[in-house]
Amino acid sequence: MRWLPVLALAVASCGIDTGYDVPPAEAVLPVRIQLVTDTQYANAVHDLFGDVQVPALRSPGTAPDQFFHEAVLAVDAPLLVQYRIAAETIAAEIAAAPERIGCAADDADCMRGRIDELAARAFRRALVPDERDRLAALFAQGAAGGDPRAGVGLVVEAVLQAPSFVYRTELGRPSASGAPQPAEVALTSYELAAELAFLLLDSIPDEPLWRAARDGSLSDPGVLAEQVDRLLGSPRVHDHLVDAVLDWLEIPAIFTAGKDPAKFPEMTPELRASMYGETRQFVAEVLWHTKASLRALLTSNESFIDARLATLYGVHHITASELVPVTLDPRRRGGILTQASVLAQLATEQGESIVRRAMFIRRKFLCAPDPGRPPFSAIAMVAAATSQLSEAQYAAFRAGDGYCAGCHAAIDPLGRALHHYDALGRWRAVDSVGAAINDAVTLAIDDRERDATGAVELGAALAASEQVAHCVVDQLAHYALGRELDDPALRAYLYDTFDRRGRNLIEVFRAIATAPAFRLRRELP
Amino acid sequence: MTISRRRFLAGTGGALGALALGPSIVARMARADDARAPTRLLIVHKPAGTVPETYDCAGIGRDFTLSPILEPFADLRDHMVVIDGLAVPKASNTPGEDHGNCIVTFMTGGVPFKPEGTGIAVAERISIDQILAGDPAFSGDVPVRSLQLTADDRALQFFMRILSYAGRGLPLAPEQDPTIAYARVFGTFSDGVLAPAQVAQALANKRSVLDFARGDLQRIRGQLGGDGRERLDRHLAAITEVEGVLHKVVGYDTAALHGELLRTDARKRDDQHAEIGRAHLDIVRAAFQCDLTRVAAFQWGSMELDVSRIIPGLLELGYHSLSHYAGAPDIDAQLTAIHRWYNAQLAGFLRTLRDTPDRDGRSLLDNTLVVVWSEIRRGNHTFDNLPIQLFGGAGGRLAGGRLLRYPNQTTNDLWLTIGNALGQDMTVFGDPERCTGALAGLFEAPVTPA
Repeated sequence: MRWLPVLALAVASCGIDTGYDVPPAEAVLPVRIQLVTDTQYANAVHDLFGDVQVPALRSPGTAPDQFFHEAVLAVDAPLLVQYRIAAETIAAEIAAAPERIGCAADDADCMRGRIDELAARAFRRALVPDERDRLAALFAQGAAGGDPRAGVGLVVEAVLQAPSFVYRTELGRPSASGAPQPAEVALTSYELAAELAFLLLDSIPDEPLWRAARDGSLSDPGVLAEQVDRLLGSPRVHDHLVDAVLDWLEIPAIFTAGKDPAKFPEMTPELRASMYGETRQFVAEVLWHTKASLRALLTSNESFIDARLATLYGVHHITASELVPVTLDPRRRGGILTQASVLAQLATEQGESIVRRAMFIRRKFLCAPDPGRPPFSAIAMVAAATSQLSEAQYAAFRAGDGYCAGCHAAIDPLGRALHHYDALGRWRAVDSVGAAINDAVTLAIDDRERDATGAVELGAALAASEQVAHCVVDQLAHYALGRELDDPALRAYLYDTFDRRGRNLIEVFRAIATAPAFRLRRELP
Repeated sequence: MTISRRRFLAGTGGALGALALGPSIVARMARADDARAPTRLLIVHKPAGTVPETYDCAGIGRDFTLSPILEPFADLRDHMVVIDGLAVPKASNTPGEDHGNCIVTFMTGGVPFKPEGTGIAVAERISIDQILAGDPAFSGDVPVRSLQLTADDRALQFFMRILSYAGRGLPLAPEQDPTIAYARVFGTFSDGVLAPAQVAQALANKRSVLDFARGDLQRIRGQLGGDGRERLDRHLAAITEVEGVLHKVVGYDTAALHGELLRTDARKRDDQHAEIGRAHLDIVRAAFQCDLTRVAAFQWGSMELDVSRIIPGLLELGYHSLSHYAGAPDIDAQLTAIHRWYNAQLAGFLRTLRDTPDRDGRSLLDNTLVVVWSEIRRGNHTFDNLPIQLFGGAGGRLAGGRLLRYPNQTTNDLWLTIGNALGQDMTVFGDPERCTGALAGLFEAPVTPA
């Protein structure tokens, strides 16, 4: 359902100059507040105070591998209590060691003098007029017993619980009272710095961004573009965007994917870590060393394996205990869909799963509508006939059964193309019942049918597809904008930019961060 | 009236042991000059249905026999009403899938929707617990309007682990960590270790921190219009709650309770499922007893429970996967064992409620209504005749020891009936088209009033 309008646009933009090379000038996002994620909270504390212990937060919307952070969540009492405990714990640690904020333990003047700057950095903005007084009063109250460190503790406790710390505000310049509300506002240079920092650093602004926020220069689109370029060249941003891509593709789930230990004794925590490590290094290489192209993500056979993966992949000359670069057999491996971290988690506890592999590709690369699960009455009806079938035989049954085929004809071919890999991602010549593997399938992509045999051709077909390109842009934009991408003009611009820049994933982030939509907001009615 | 410490400790049982409240809290309660006790509501959700063959009870009215699954409640039979026949009025073409859909529909009486720009389904309507939590006539001036707790917050989809909604699109997510839940109810420094002068100073400091947050929040709220304000108002309410707790709880000696909780580790939820669940329930009991809250919703987990670790001899299948195979005899035997295990945990908690005196001389169980339910009937997704049990006297309003059957009515009718009994002036609950009228004869006074 969701990709239909996408396709319509794809047809409209096919091969001709569409005029979408300039981003739309209008705001698409409303003025809003967004809660920081748990990771952003912890990163911000570390940027403010160095290496302090941050109690593990568990806010409702930010489970570790949740790619989209949904905006319906509020700071209800359970979360407020978590914030309080975190703030009290961190404050106690800072109070015990004021050198963390650059002050000697008995230097009250130094501590008093550091408060305003600390609060401003934490709030990502200049303090408002009475805020200095309120912070000074907190310091005085805490220090009333004679120990200035207790004053710092109380200030830190208050700052880390303040809404200005835990919410990202995207409100623009407050309009003068009585003036008619403008339909569109520009984010302040402070808000813009914070948005850019949360997108690319997953934290508060770093020093250069903070300077550009303070002197207001960031509001100049040229300066903003320079900052985007600078950040996209920094190792910390490289790391964060690799993690973002891994979260998008749910790679961390390999650590918890259920496997029957009797059947798969080799699936040790160490092997899981190697599987994750391969894909992390592969994605880092794709993003930052090989033009960041979607094609490389889906087709490259240049990867990183250690001895454990070498055994799994049947590459016998690798004996290193750490991951080393390797060129894998191009007939058997190419792209992320052929990596163990993906194949082994898209399985059941007992074996490989054609349907799970197919549904993953539909969700992550085709944005195909979810047909839902079949009713249990239907499963019960075929249970007797299918209970002894192998995966391939069951797929054949579904293809031949008129009712099942209604959905599975469009689903199963994607998973069948990966059938040369077992439940751990090993390449195999025959399947679990010794039958020859037929992985020649007909795929329905881009609204037409095409034939492909095996994973390598599947990867190539996906890499060439408009539908896949648009689906990927939609998801990265949802992540970057904190909201589903529903504005047709911005969408068309991002699709077009992605295409013109070699389907480079990093360019999606650059295009979003430099588009007017990133710095403008619609006023709410 | 005095409550002896021995009496508290006498009620201990279960894997963790009931949490003992220290002497000062007992003394504080004893000073309460109002001898009337409020009515409390606890909602307990256990996911993925039941096994009808071993759940359904023979008989009707006062003459019925507890089934194998309900047998762990044998000694609580007089405090129990088994309700058969109610259907959850789920609509077929709504976002999300069956379990979450039915959870939303059971709790709010209406189907879910997806807010603009988001990918998650949430409720359109307010849930029943929030109606009561928001009514001063029911909730009085308790600082914690309601508690949302879970023993395991893993979920395939967001809305599977949400029971409570403050209103349209306003989910109240549950807390999984008992130590956090404890801090919510009893504050972060209420262990009674501070001298009185220190208490006053600490209290003043916490208030200043909260004042700072409130001022900041109001400034942002002034700049923001529309829906965003609703979220900030909830944040404001949370700040007010924390202040209320500070005001009311400071000086209570809950060290023993806290000490017990520190033995749980929410990160080890696979191995401590029973302990974490019981810890949450004991926090509910303590909060009810101290009248810090009157409404609580507890979930054993959503669908991702891995109970094979806690009940030896089970297949290495998740609870949810197992439930899908319901109907096969060996699977049904395992599911029955799982349900009996959960019911034994709950029975242990209910016994402590029964053995805890309330301020009016009745037991805490007499003054509480506990509603236990699952969102479906059988693991193959059937939605009629849900497994529902009520426990407690609901403040002298509900007679136990009965099985009632309402084959043509809905769970909306159940909440309508309960809402009315608990003082809510409502003629319909949830979607009016899915509410057919009150359940006849459910609430009748006990034969021998306490």
